[in-house]
Amino acid sequence: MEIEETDIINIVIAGTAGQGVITLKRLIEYAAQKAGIERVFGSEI
Amino acid sequence: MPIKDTRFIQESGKVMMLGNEALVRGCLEAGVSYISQYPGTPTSDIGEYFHQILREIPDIREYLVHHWAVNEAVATSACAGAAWTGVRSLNPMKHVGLNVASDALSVIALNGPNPGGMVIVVGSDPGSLGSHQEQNERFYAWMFHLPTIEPHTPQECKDWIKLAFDLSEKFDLVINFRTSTRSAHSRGYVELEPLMMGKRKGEFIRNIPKYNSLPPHAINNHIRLYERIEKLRDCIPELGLNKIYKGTNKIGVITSGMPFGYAMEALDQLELNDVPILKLGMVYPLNYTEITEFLNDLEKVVIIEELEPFLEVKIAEIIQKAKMNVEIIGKNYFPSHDEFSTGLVTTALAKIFRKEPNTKIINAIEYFNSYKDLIPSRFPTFCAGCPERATLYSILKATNHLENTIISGDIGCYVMSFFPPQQCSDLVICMSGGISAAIGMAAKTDQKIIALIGDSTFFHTGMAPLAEAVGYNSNLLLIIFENSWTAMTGHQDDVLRYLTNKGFSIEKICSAIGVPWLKVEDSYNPKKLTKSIENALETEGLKVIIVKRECALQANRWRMSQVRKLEMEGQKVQDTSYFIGGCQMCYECARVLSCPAIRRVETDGIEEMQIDQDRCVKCGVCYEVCPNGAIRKSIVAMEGVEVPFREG
Amino acid sequence: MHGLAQREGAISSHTRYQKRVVDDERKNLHSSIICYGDADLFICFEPSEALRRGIFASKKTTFVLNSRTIPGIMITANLEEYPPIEKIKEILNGYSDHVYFMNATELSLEHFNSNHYMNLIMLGLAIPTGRIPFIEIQNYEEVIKEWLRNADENIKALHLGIDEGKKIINTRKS
Repeated sequence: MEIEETDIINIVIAGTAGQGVITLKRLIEYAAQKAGIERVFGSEI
Repeated sequence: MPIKDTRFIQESGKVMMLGNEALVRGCLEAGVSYISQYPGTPTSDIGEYFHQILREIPDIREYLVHHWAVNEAVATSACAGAAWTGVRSLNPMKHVGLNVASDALSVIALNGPNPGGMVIVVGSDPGSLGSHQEQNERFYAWMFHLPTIEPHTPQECKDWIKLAFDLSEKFDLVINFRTSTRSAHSRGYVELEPLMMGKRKGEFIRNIPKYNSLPPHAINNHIRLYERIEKLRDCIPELGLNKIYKGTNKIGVITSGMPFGYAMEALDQLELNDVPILKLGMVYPLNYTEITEFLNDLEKVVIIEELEPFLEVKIAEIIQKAKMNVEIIGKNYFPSHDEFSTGLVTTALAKIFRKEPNTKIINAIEYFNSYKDLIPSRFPTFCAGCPERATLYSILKATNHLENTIISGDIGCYVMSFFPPQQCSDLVICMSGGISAAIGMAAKTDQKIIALIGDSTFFHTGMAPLAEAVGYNSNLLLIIFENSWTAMTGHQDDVLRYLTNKGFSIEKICSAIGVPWLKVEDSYNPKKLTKSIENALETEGLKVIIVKRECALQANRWRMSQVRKLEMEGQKVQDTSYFIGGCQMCYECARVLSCPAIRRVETDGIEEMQIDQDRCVKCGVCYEVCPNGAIRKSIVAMEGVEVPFREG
Repeated sequence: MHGLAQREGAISSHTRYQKRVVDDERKNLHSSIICYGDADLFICFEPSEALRRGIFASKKTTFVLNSRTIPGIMITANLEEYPPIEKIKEILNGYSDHVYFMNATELSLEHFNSNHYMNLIMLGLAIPTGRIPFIEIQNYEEVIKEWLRNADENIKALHLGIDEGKKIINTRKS
């Protein structure tokens, strides 16, 4: 599957309280910033 | 989690922030100097960030004060007081908090916050994601003339809260900054601007007509309020809050906040890229010219807004006054309840624009519906070792599973008691609504009545109904959970902690107020607590049991830190653990106590209960209640130091 | 985030990003939640939680799952059934062939004597699926060093997940 740079990437992270769902989400987002990703917008609930 | 978080204090740069974080950053760029709030999702973390900043930079304390208020009405008046000394004040609250604050706000809005500025942040909750109800509080904006700004991205949260303070000061109006659970907890990039220190001190200057909205000044202030709001209305197009995305379609869209994002992506999915869109950053007041110019070339306008139709009504008013011939599409296609999503908006827009329904969305819904009944429920419940769960256990035992007994619930962690398997709350209204409803019930029924309340809720608004119950000697039992924290919203310091440090207690308040029957119990001693509840229910008149036991999350954190400290010093520490042997599968621990640290396992075809050692906080309640003595206690390193939970 | 959503409850989050934005704003990312059926990747720390969020999945979705179950209190009380793991697999395979299970909790316990590293191990499993494009492993490592406690262990956990993940994914491909 070809992924274009202008495509929107959609990731769901699911788990239960205390498993580190939000930590992983933030980690991916901060890493995306390091990688020069131009737009990030995600929900933590 | 973060080791060093400089996002709030660095002078410039592009950082990743949640809506609420960005809002706090905006306040620091706007020179806010007083914040007061009662915690409530989705605005609690605003105060936590301010606390983090004040902790890390003590020098700022001279310029910035944050109070965890006793309730929202106190917080709102406190913010007005600060603004009236000439400083900028911020007053965050959840949507239902606005109901509590509204009495104060109705007058403050009339008087105006000048010489300072005042912004309220109202965290709306479409979908009831973290609250006991959903409501469209925009109607307060209309009622009290609160200019209302709705951000969509974290960048807008930061930029627009700054603008909100400028507008508040310039127009002498309280600005309503309306976020939502979704916008407050969505994360994206924020471009920072320089910080500005708030005023260290202000000064109140006497102005009797302005600050006394009583006859004759009340009417004058009302007239003045209309003048102020009209001045602001005229400037709206210059503020940069509202934005038009041009298009040639004869059907246009007006929306705001998070639904704007759903609408943009939905229109793209439907390949409707010629639809003109008006994104409102300010939903009240509306500038008539701006709206009519947008509507001019349209045959129809679709209003995309969550909850009750507010914009729909206000836009209809403008169309009617301007005698325009534009059809309004709104709540005839969109629900008035629950949160929206891109899927929902796409589906509705497909119908409105007579497009083929989106098969991807239809397939997703259909396949999900084919198996959704198999998904095991996972509702929120009390933590392992929670003293409130243990109290509910005692209530169930003392009343023979609520036989002829009504439980009048309230707001706090114990709101979760209505969930199975305990199902120990018959009703919930609002903060301290439980004891209040119980007074009315006691007047009209002979059933046994138990009202529940937590310590933070007791201080919020619970003392007044308790005084009334004393006055009428209402035949009810009030159980006060004294866990020393505002636990549900994340353990904000509450006034109770300051007061208890000074030797003040709920017990003393109850005695002073004249409670005729008063006991203090410990939920970790379920047999004694059960007996006490039985005795209370056999007694006529008002009874109060204060269940004293610290929130297990906090108690366990404290205990583990003590253990670590002792071990670092090289001391041996007693290690208590509980385990199950010879389980009879009677389900007392799983259905009546229902502790999440206990799980059912099958080994070699034999079912038994097991205690998850990594989740158990060693409260010992299951050990106390097991009718078969199958829960055992073992202590390793008997000779070591015992570290019990702290008292009080 | 606290309140009703937190205590022992189900947690989910949506991560969305766009490497390059285009001039036409209508084509860009605007919503912080995913449209139904639009998820490229599901990272699930508990098998039944994948089903709970299933409305966001479709045939284009890749699933990576921690196989350790966490039955809720209703299951413990024997008032509800936890779906058999085979049934969960069958449902997810109804979406796509890209469904990868790994016992990340066990790996975390085995290697770190704690279940705290399960999430990083799961990220490791997700990376070789190629569904988190444009982000390099060193980007994660930098962030871990800046933001997380026990950075070394977390980086180890990430690589453990990547190594184990590659085995699982390559086995499937061959």
